[in-house]
Amino acid sequence: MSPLTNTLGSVPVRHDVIPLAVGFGLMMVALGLGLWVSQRPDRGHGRASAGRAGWPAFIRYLVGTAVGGWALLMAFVLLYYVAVAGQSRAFLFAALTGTALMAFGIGVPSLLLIAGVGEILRRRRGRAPR
Amino acid sequence: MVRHPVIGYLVWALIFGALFAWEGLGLARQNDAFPTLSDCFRVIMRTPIGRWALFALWLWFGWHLFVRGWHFFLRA
Repeated sequence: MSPLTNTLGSVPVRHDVIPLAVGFGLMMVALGLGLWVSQRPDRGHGRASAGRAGWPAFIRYLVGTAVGGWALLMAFVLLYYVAVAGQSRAFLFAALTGTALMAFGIGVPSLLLIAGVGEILRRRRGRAPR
Repeated sequence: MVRHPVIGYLVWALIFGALFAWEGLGLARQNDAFPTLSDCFRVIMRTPIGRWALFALWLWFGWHLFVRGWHFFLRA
């Protein structure tokens, strides 16, 4: 095996460089897609808020984002951490449960709570005498 | 704990300094061709894939900092 092959196959490259490169690539693809969508006429109004589109649409938007993001991260973990870097099952289980806890146990409920409180405050302000 | 050379920290300081300088320029000259970080995130979040990628990055970062090992900030 040549020194170059040794270097490319070394632990820092597999564990650090490849995940960072993929993360950077994902961000750039997302930025490119967003730019492409923003330059098309009458497109790109995917955002929903509790006030304008109603709670069902907002919850769909929030849960869809969380499920999609979590699934994307799990695909990345499976592909690189398990298949390429050869991590253990314990790591996979920790990643699966830890990120699920963050996404569905902390992230989504917190954002719903914040949106709910914001909506209540907005209604109170609207009802207050001027 | 590993002791790193000061130059390594200086490089990070320079990178973050440049980031804040660029953001400041974008905020100060809103009508010019200097997008702020918020503008970039707004563009990314226009597509579902962009939102998923951002959420996945947030999860990855948060999991490494706060969940994995459970002792990042609470280490005795």
